[in-house]
Amino acid sequence: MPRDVDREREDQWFAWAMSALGGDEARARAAARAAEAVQRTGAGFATAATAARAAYADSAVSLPDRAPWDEAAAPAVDSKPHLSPDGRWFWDGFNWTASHLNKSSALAPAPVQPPPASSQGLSSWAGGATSEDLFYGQAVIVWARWILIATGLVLSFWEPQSLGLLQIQLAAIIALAFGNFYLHVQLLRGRPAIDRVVYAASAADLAVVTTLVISQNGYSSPVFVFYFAAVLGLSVAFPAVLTAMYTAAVVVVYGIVCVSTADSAEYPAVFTRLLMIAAIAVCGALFAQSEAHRRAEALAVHESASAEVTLPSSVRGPEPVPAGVG
Amino acid sequence: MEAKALREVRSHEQAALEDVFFGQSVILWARWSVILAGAVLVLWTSTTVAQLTRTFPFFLVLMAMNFFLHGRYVMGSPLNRTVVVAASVADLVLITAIVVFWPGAVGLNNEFFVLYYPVVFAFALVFPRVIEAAYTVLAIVAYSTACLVLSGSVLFADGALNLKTLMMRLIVMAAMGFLGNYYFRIQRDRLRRASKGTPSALDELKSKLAPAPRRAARS
Repeated sequence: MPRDVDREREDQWFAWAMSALGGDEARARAAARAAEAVQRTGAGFATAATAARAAYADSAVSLPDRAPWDEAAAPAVDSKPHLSPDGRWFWDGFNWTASHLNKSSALAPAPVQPPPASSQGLSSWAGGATSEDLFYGQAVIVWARWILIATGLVLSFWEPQSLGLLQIQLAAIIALAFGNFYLHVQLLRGRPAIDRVVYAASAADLAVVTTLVISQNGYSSPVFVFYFAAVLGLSVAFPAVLTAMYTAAVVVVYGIVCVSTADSAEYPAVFTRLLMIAAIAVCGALFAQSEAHRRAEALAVHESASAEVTLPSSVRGPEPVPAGVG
Repeated sequence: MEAKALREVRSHEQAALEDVFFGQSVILWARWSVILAGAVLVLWTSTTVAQLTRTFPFFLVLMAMNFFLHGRYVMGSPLNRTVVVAASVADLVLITAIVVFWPGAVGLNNEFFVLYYPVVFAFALVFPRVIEAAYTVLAIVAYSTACLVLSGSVLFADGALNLKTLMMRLIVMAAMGFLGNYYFRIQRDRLRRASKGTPSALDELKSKLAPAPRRAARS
């Protein structure tokens, strides 16, 4: 059944093209067809991958539904010798050769740009992805939640005020513990939870703390200090916009709870609590942002330095080979 | 020249100095929040001129100090680590003074212990583990001593409920230091990886987990 084999191989190349060349399905499909066709002739992976890259690039130029404002840009691609998307390969019309062997100025590698910020902002609600900042911040959130759970559990048994209150506390703590166990296991197994799950878990943390605060007469409840740990975790992990939204929600909800349960003489203390919760969020978000800039600069410096060193003399293997292909 | 020789573009010492320089902004903003809270509280709760004139100068001094430190930061002249640590210790002294001397409510009954939290958190984002741990312990000792001295009898009355409250506050204070420094160390690792050009831990995980195309059969 050669056709089935071909289709299977094309699907494999399609998956490879989607991950290695970009997320454009039409272009990846064209790349997969080209690679499969080349490989059917008996060529190895390197040749097929080169064909895939070329087809991927070509389909970008010849897309029939190009927007009018992109028309002017199209000829610019054709006007210079054909360079593969990664800048390493040069098409002279007959063969692909390593681009560093061709000294044409048109083939000069593009300047290295810092990587885009991995923060996805509000769009991360919609996707099913795991963003990098959230991956690293998730560990902080998980540990913050364990501290909340352990402290809450121990203190619940310390002079419980009533059976009803203890039931509420234990039910909330156990629910949090199960959720956190799942998230921690995911981290330990190297499978970070998708963004939306982490966002929902943090919202659950805040809801649990609010429930406990309300069940203990609002302002006078000492449990409000757990807001600080929860806000700390999300401030270093979430995009700034989401941090602001979560913090604003905490400040508004807890502010309403306090104002409705405290005397006017206690309003200065309420103000201080709310201001400090916001301060924790600002500090965490500022630090995360500052670190992102430092990382981007470090990466750019490294890449420009290594490009200067390796480009003139390197005769590397043609392409990164996905495991199991070729 | 070997590519390897250029891989490490930032030495350990340089990274430590940069940590203090870049992290200072977090400490500065945490201190601004404390100053804002303190100034508003003093203006809000003062009932006599004497009380206001006695308490407000503390915040004016702190404000002047932070203007100087923030000005140095904005001008790009790095402050050395000792000055930053000394200023952070001064924050702890001031907050403990508020807890101890605030008219009407001192020790455990003083509600302004929350001022410790952003200060401890910001410090933990800047300094390595040993210094951060010392600072957090200092904050915990200062606050618990103030509570024990001023509210010692109250702490153990009524089934030690107040001691429970104190424990909760101290645990969260310790958590601020621990979690802040944990995140700081995660960021150091990320920066080190970026400086060496090695992929991030997430990229490594994704590459391990991604379904690789199977060996293509040749017809």
